[in-house]
Amino acid sequence: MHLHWIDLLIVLVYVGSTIAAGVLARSSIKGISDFLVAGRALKTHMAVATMVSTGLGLVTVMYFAQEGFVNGFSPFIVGVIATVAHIIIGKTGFLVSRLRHTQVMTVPELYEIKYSRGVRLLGGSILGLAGTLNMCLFPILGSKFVVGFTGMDPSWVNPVMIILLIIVVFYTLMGGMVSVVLTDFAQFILLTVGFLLGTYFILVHPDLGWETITTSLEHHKGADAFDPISNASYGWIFIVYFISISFVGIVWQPEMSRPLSTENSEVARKVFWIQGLTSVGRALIPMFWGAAAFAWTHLPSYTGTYASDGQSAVPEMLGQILPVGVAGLLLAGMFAAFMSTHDSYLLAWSGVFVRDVVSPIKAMMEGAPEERNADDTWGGLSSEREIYWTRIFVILLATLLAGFGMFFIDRLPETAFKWMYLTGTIYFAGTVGTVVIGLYWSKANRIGAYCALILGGTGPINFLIMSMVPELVPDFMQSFVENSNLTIMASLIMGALGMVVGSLLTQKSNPPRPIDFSDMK
Amino acid sequence: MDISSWQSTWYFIFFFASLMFYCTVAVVAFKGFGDVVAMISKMLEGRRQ
Repeated sequence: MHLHWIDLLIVLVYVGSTIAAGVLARSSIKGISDFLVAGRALKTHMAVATMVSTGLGLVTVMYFAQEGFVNGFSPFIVGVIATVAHIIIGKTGFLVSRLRHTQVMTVPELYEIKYSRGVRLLGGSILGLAGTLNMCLFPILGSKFVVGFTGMDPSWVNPVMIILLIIVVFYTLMGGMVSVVLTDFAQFILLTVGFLLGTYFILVHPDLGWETITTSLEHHKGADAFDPISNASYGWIFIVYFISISFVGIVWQPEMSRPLSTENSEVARKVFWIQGLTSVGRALIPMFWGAAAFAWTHLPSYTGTYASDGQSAVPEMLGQILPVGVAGLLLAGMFAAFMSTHDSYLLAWSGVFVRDVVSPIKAMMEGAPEERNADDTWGGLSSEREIYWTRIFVILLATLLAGFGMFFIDRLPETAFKWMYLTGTIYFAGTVGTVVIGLYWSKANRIGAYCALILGGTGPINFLIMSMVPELVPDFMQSFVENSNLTIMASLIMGALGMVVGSLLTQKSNPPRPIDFSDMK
Repeated sequence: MDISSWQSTWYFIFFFASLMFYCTVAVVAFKGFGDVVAMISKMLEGRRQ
């Protein structure tokens, strides 16, 4: 390990403070809305900080960095599209205002208001599945960063992952969303300082710098490193998909939980456009680090073993070029990024499993009416039992993630970045019909919602299965296995079509439920 | 576009995006600090009770 004791001290102080915050936050949890959405009391700037932090986890840094390592500057297009989309959403209130107005804590709750309890159960199950698969990469990639950065032996990847997960689970169980918000704020500042210093030291390093990096990319990758249209990993299909998903993707539970935690729709909208200003930087800075790591590992003087490993090359490069103190600060920032994303996601997916799967099943068995109670429950589990079961699910999910990291990480189809979008699309594709069309089209009904969820989710799940056994896939379907772009784009279209066709055919037998937005701020 | 045009475009976008990112974070951190202090005070109060 090549870290100085000062660097280690900085990291330990941060981790200790985080645990203390979790213990402190426990006293402020009175009910499920305190636990899952911080009592819906987040003010604008705090909500922005926590939302940016959630979207900027260590896994985000790692998969964006890997994308820069593999594809050079071409993926920069992703950050540009995300920023434009978020600013438009913030200014128009598209989806955000209406969702916040319905006072839901999870997106599938909207399904019970707008469609039925059965749709909520199916939607919650799909969201939980997509979210869990999506999150499976997080712990192992975080651990790889820590091991690569500190120079520890690669055999420490699994033990480090388990230690990190135990810390995260502990303080998430303690304080729920309140402790999540506090640690997010610390990460927001720490990681930004780390980003600034990391980029500075890359740009001024005698073996790196902008010119060296671009020259290396051009020499080894040619136009594909700069032109996202000619690069086969992107191209027009992916760009159109990403524009669509940037608008739909805001209903991703961990990110949407922040606007849903704000005081009202107006604050929710403001949160979106302010954090949109950071979206492009959040993507481009780690991508640039990845491109720099590519140039670093292709220097004639490079003697390491990560010349073809985009996940490990970035932490190795940073660990070697950063001075004492700065390395500790960046590692603390990355620890913070690891924790803040994990706690948010663990809480979000556990909340979805409990509120949108377990609780509706109990409510159905007891024949409870489809109405929200004053304590934000829906006739299934009580508020106290929801908190209890959410904590149980946090532990179960963390255990599952550790298992996935240890046994599945080397069997991913495509890059980590593509895995994120592929698994996310299992859920996103259905939301095109159920949420986007459902909130703005008065004819959207229960049957349309079932069709959208099932048709939308089938494509990405099919791709995941086929990519594991490509030898069994018939020739005419090989193009769907070789590149996920076609599958994910087709899934979005199927999700939308499912809602429109399903609803139009069943208007009389299943009249739509209207939602009143007339008094929305 | 040829490679050099793409390189110039990404150069401009990278530095502009970085500037926008750091400025936004600085403003949000400054304005949000009071909210964090208020939240911690509330937690400490709840703990004393």
